[in-house]
Amino acid sequence: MSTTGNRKTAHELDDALRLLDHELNGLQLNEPVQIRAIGGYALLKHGVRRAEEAYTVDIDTVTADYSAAVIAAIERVAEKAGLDPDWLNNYNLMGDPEDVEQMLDAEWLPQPMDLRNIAVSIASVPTLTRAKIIAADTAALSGRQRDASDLEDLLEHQGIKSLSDFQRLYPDPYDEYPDAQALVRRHLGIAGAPKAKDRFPELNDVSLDGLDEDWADLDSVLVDHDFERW
Amino acid sequence: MVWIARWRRAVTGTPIYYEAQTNWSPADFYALWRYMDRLFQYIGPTKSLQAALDHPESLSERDKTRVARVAALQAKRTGKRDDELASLDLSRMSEDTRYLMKHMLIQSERLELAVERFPNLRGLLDVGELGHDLYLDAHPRGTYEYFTKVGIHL
Repeated sequence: MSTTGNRKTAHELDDALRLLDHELNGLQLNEPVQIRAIGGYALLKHGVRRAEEAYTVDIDTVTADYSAAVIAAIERVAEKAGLDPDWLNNYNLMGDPEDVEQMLDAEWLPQPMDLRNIAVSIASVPTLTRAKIIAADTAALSGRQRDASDLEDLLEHQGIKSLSDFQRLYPDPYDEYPDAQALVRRHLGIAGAPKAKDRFPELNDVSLDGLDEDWADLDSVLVDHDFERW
Repeated sequence: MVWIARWRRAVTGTPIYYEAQTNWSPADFYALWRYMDRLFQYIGPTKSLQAALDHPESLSERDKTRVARVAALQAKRTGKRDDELASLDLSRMSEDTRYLMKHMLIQSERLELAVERFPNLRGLLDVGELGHDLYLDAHPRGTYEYFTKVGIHL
């Protein structure tokens, strides 16, 4: 496979970051430019994507807007390295970075790259997974298709083979991400498994409101113990 | 704004959708799929999102939150890459690429909006059957029911 501006390996993007570090020397920054990578680049750095698909287009960062001078430096690097002009962007940021971090319960792993002007961190695998759960859950609205594929890669990377494992690691007690849950069920080959609320309608009483975690536990039991026998 | 697209091409070389596909592997088509999936986000809201925005009164509280989240991201994107979208030249693309693009736009509920906003994409409406299946993965998972149905495997 050839690499073009539309296909870059993590190694090539690391080189671009070194080039950016050099470009930033002239700006006399008071503190390093922060990069908190959460998209394809972070997946590559974790080795989540299969080797033959180990490329991405850009680095998505969960940080506030950069200054005009930093953006100009990013664009100069694009020109030199044959990258898209917005190869480093925060397009996926909704609102304040702090809000996103709280929503994802984010954990960032500093990357030792020996750069003077840039501090690079990547999202941990659980953080990436939570981000992809949220993104995949709204795929029908957003039309983004690759999040589902990424979520499946992350499940395989973590060796998640049962719904109970998934729900233990990524609990959704209030059923906030039903479409993502359905995707995970399909991926695990349990698409037809009924949810406990459907299987036992007689228990679906208003007096049981507030027991969402118990419902989720029961869902797991139904799946893990072969619901067909119930 | 077309000059921006030209500049982008000058900077980045041949865009992936114009590359010769001789000896392309499933991984190459997967790269194309990811690139176009990203690019198509910039066309505008999906039908489902637009319907939700037009009739918020029909949404549950949970769905209102989800719609607000997606709408905020969509608003940041719509229009930002119009230059590249307007410069897409279907005649320079392979039949496989045009087929993939058409069905990606159908699956993401953006085909009508795409041809309305970008007349250069109207030719996608005439794209017919392909005559062979497209493999975007050597070991397809069949994640996307629609794609599998139209012979696109990933």
